Amino acid sequence: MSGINYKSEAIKKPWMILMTIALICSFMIFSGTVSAEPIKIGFVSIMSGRVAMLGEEGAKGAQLAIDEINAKGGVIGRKFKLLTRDSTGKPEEAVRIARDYVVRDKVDFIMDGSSSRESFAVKEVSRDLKKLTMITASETTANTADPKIRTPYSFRTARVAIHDSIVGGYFAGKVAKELGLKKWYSISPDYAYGHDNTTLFFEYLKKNYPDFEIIGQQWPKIFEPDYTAHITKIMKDKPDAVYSCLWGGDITAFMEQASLYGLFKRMKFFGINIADPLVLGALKKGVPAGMYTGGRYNITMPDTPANRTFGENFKKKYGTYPSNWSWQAYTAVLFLEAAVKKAGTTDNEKVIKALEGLTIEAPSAQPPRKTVTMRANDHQMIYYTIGWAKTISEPPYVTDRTYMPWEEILKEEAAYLKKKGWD
Amino acid sequence: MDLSSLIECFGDPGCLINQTTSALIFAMLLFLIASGLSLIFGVLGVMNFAHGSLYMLGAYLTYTLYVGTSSFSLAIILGCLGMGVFGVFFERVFFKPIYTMHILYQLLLTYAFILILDDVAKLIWGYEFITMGAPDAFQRPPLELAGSFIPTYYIFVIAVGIMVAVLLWMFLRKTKYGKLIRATAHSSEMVMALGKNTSVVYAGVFGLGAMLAGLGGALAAPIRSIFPGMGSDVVIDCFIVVVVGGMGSIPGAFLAAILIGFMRAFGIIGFPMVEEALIFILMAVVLIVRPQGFFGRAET
Amino acid sequence: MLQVEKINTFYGSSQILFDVSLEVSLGEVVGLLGRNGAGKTTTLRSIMGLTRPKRGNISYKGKDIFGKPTYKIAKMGIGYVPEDRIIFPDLSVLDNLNLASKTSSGGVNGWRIERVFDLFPVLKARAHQNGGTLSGGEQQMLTIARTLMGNPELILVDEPTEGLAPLLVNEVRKLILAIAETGTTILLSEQNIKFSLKSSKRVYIIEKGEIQYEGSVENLRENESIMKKYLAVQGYDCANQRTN
Repeated sequence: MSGINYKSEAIKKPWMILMTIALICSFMIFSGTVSAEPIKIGFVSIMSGRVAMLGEEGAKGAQLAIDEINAKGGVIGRKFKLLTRDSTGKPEEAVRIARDYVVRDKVDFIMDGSSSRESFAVKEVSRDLKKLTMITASETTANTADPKIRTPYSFRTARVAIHDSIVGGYFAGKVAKELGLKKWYSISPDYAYGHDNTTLFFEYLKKNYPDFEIIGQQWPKIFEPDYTAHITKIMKDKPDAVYSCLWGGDITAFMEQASLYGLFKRMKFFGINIADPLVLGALKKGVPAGMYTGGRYNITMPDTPANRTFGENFKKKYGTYPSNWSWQAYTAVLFLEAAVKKAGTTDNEKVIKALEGLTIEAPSAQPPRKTVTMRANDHQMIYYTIGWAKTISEPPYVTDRTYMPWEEILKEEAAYLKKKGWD
Repeated sequence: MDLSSLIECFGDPGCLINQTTSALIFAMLLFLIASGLSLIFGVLGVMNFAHGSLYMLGAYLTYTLYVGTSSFSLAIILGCLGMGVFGVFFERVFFKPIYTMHILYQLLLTYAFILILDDVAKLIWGYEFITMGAPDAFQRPPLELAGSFIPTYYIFVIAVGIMVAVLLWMFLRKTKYGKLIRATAHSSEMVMALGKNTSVVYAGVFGLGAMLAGLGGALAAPIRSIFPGMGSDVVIDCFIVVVVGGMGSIPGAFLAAILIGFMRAFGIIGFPMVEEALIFILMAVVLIVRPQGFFGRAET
Repeated sequence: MLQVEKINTFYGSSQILFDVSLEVSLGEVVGLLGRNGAGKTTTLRSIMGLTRPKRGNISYKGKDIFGKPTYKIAKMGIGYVPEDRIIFPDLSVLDNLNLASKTSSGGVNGWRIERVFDLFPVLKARAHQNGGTLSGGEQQMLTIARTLMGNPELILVDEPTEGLAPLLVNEVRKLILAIAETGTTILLSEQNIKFSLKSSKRVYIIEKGEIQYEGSVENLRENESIMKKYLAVQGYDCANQRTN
């Protein structure tokens, strides 16, 4: 800029180098330490950046389960120990961490609490190194459903996209029939999850209520800060109902902006991810009443004593109620405990045999059941709570909880797998 | 492409007003942040990649002040001033040593600060996203005009944005300090040789830039999600504004921000699915046809 | 008034000035002669603190100014007219001048806008025009006039006529002589020997970063071998190369 600057002479300045070294060292402090005795679980997930909540919430859930088990004296005379490392959201980093856990830290099990992209990569490490891996966050159906993709070493305690869509279509179909919602709209994030989820939702809506048309679809990019243009377009087109699988900070921003336009007063809104405690907790001005939401984990969803205890214990320890991710990681540790107990060892091959078809009591079970089951053939947890509800403005913010019976979910799922050639 | 919808919208006053408001609200917030970035680049000659983080901190600060004082106007004012002070401190401590360094070092440092400030925000406010919600004064049904809807808060934001643009322009054009800033942008050495302490100008400009980013954050806080990393996406749009408008030019930034706002708002109707790409196409075209941007001076 | 003692200045790792010493007394006009690239600009920049010498000593009116920030040096009463006439192109002529006003406290002459316009009528006519619209000669005048607005007691002028059309060269030279007559001390860097000999009483000749000759103009005039050795003797040298 200034007309008479000359070439830098500062390139060799030593403080830049010092600072870099200091930075690297400070990162390294966060790495775990090694001890021989306990049963070690290596947890890998994104714990920094804007989806840090994925990993942070998962780690909290796993740690709570471990503390509870250890307080009772552990399992087969050994205590659990959780190692956590940040994948920074990069698959290659997640793979490196997972390998490190196995080779250097000699963990007994891996727990993968990351999003699908990383999860697919970590799963391959489990196949390669024959290390039992619990998947606690990735919801992509293919991860367990596609025989070519799933591995004998990985198990999933996370909700699956296909179940979510089946239940969503079932529920929305009922409401649409009742209220005569004919013109539909969608606004979902512009990446694989958003497109797959929305397409499947409408597919299952059609099964339950064939009499509707989609008059418009919008695909804002993920982490879009401003939805005003989308909102005014929807208002202009005047649909009867809008479906959205925006999640996290995106759905809250959308709801704030749409509220200012009075959108929710003019049409029905079906947001599959609204009821997540993080979303409801973030809405400081209260939750707009009368929206339909997927039944995300909530202290009253499922409304059972076991769930209430879990939620309150979590809050006592961390100050906030758990989210889906905590609940799924918590359940994963419960499964490991039960399987190790049954196998009498941490030997992975034996634990895997014990896990297949294992049924345990868990706070996440969908009423009227009190148990969840790890399906033997595809290593997917079933019978977890997956319903829909309507929002109210007071805590616990949801009411009219509706569950689709699991027998029906499994029937629809079987048909879907057959269609895909995955059965 | 859906050109018939676009034509239909142009014929419908409700649609026109709706999309225009939505263009302006986006444009004003973008302008506030980008003008600070452009100013800092114009005068200090440093591309501050961490500028989006200042916007993020402004949003967090305003949120905290709003929770503490329950007064939105107080929160905006204190939030802005707080960011100004932070900017001055930031410039003196971290930026001052890098002016004479190679651009790669500047890039490295400002990029590092994106990560550092994100983590600082995470430590202070937590990793969960926060939604502040529009202040009570604006919690009312939108105005209805010819079948369009205009939220009152948006009118407020658009008014503040235009006011700041005019004030900023007048400040730089008409006042002694504004002229000093423009002179420093051209040659800080010459300004120094005329007996003016350019360090003060640098710190002041950075403070002003941080204040503008902070104001952007403050005004965005009620309507956008606040979370660590919220600045990273915004900063990309800001760079486009700075490039398209001309580096260092405030009127250029204003015009570019408005243009981008309109391309988005009407792109969503006429070119759904690719409205994001339109903005990058705009940048590419400007870079080919007029590399110095709308109001930039060509390098000689 | 100004004492420069054995300064050594570098750009990066290459040394430009080697033990340069010079002295300017109150009211003098001193010439600094040398070819392109001899080290004239670097010497003036070193005095102004724009390029900091690594070693040496500089004092002004008995006060040490070595290593001081440029703006403080300027405030003490040293004005600088850079060779590449850096005006502020998007400020008006008037704003360019006002920006520099009231810099130093003392000021031998009390330069004010009216007096500056008297000396530079062409600038008065263009007072509200943007600096960038002026011609090269006018820009050079604006640079000089702007420096005067700071009321300096000593002005460092770096090749004021370089790159100007012959007609303007004379005009600029007349102005410098006029300023000298007001009692302002001037250190004038030049390639052109004739003008230096005419305006200055004392000259330094610099070559490859070292002072090669110091003495009165009369002495130099009698010593043609030195002139031939170090200077471009032909009347006019309009090489338009930046002097580092």
